[in-house]
Amino acid sequence: MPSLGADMDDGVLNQWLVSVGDTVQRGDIVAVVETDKSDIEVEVFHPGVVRELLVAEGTRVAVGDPIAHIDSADAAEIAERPASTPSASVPVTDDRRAIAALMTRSWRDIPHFHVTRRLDLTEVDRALRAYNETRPPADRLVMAAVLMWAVAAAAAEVHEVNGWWEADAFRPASDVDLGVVVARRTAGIEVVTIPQANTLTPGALMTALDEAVTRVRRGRLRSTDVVAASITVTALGDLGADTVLGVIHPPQVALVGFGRVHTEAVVRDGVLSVAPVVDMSLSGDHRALDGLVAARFLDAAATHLMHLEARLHDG
Amino acid sequence: MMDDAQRIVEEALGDVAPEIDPTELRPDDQLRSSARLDSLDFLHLLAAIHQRCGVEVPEHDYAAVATYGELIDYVRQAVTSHR
Repeated sequence: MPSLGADMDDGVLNQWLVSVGDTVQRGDIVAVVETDKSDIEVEVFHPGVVRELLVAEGTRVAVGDPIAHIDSADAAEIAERPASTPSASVPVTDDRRAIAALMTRSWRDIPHFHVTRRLDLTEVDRALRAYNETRPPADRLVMAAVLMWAVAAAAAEVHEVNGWWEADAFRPASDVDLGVVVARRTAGIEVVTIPQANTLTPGALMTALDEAVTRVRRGRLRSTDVVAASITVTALGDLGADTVLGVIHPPQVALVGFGRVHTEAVVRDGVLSVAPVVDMSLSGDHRALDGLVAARFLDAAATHLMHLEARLHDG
Repeated sequence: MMDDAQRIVEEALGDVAPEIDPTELRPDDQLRSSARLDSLDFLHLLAAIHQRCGVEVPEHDYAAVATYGELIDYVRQAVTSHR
């Protein structure tokens, strides 16, 4: 039984989606597990052949107990969890108590500070429009995905913002496992993780974001959605707030906030003009990082956005 | 009276945001704020319309389909001129 959230002790195996003798590939969904918060699809992380299902549907299983045997070249067990810290982020659902507990802990323990920067999106907007103009709706990119791509690239570069504060020390993450705050359709929020977001092109990040949001709205997550995030981003752009100064999700040390994209008067090369802009913020844990690092991070994100056009046509 | 364009938009909206009752939407309601569609939902809505009737709203026309009524009008005109 994989751990599908920091506070999960056990889960009910609701449904097997494979049978003995089936061949499975990496990423196949093999079972559905019911946790306190939601139904989560369990993926397999190694290819192989299902030899034995060890628990019947409807059985409650403790985290860490084997649920099936899969023969594969490296004899891996089913639903082994990808590398992550067991103490990391709690997936937040519309259960207000879960949010309340996490946010209370954050505000009590973390000395927050905030830095902001207004990004001129003229070139980003132009590149995005040109990209989308020739594509059907299903293949287009949204601004939020592009902003998240820039966050992942900047967090990989300024690694002081990407990781966890544990036992009075900062532990950097090797990849950027990007937590994304997603509004449910009805009420409340959920945080899903886009694993290794730093390795994705803007197009691939759009696909990952779109699929994760769809799973949130369907109410059924996958095990990779609840991998411990190394940094979280919230984009309330569509809801009309200009600036978002967020609360960090412990044990992470930073949270990035984007307000709404809107037009403002800006001065560029000494000339006053009207441009699409977005206010980007970084909330930092002052135990782990300082304002200089935070400013470097914002600068790195802005630089990546300036080079978006070249990356849009990667892979 | 409901025509094809309105039916197509209602059905597409039902795919994307099943909790919305289209009969409660007024023509001048903003899709983003009144219907609470974010940018991903909006793309899904356009993709669902495209799938149903082949009408593809290009990005440079987004401003012309900001309200529920404008979107229905847009689809109606596109379907009519297509015939």
